[in-house]
Amino acid sequence: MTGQHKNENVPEITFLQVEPTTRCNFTCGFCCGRHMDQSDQSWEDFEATMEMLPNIRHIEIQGEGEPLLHPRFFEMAAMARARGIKISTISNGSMFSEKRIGEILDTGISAIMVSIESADPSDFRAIRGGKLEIVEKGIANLLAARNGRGSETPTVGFAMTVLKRTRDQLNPIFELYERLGMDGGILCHLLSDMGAYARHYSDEMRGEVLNEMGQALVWARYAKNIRRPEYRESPIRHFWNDLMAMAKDARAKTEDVAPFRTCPWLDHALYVNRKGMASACPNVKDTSRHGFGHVRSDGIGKIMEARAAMREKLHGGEIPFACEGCFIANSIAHTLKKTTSIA
Amino acid sequence: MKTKTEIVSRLKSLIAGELDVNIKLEQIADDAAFFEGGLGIDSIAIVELISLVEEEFGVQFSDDDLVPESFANLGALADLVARRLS
Repeated sequence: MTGQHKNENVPEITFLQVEPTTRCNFTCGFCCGRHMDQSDQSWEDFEATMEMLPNIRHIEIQGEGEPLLHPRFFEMAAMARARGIKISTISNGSMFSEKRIGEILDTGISAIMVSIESADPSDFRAIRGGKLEIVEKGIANLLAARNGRGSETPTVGFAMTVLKRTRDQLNPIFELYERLGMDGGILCHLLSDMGAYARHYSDEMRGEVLNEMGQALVWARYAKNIRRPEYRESPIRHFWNDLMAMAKDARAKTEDVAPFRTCPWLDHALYVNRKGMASACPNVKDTSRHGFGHVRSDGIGKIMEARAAMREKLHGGEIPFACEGCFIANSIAHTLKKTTSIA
Repeated sequence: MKTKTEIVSRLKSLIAGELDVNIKLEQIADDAAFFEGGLGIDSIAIVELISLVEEEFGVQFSDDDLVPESFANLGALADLVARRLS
């Protein structure tokens, strides 16, 4: 393989996210995947990615589409599993048929998050184009089958994207989580205003982005909810939780939401999209300009060089163009600016 | 019962001493706004501040308290703390 293991920084990549597909059976108004070409990652690119990264501990098989629509999703998971790699995914939750539930359990997937913005069925349908009732039933069936086998995995949680109009849905989503007996935790993302996403928004969707005060108050409400004693979360956590925990800073005074001093993606992870292009994280969409290279045609050496250059820039206090609007990059720049000002 | 002045003073000490933002006590005006044009702290730091304030004053903010008006500036936050203490 071109340049394999030549770069001394390869061992630090222990988290990998791959985008299996951009195809989806939902029509979420904020999803940039609906504006991309609808395609699947090739098996050759997936295999090459796995081969060039020998130290992966946790893989997320998910991108801007419904992962379960990739015809070889479970083969991808099985290949990772055979290497002892922990597997996570995020699904829209509409495809948990009996057959797929069996495959999920047989493959040993560790953590599944189901995307949600609202626990109100009509709101859910208006935002996602799918039926909450079907998603709820699928989650219940998956948990019943898992529990029936006496297994702890996959843990099943929610990945919540908060829009201005759904900020009051936080508590109902936590209630639904408890009612369904879920245990994978609830992730909280805010509707992104990064250019790669926002350029596809309608005027109405653009108005759904929270301002800085709104973001702070949603985060604060979220932090309160996950500190409640009734909130159950398995220690078998999703990729996103495990990766963010790598950025935990000893100086932070609070447990759940703390300023960033480094980027966990650029420290520990790599993202590879369905075309086999490697980049810093899933937020980088224009990989022809801001990607690190192709996993097969460019190889690990070139990818690691480009990655190191971006990390040096960000950790030097300058926000790379591809990171503009990212809350992690903003937090790092903010923290470094404050540190520099008193130095 | 604490006066608003006392609460503001303790909030300033919290921000300067505990919050990870490197702002000095003398840089904080009694009516300082938190975001741009004021202390210039970001949304993640605000979340940290809310936790610190609850711990420091032994109060719990409800969802109804977590509204923009309560966090417009230091004085507004002090008013909220005073209401919760009463």
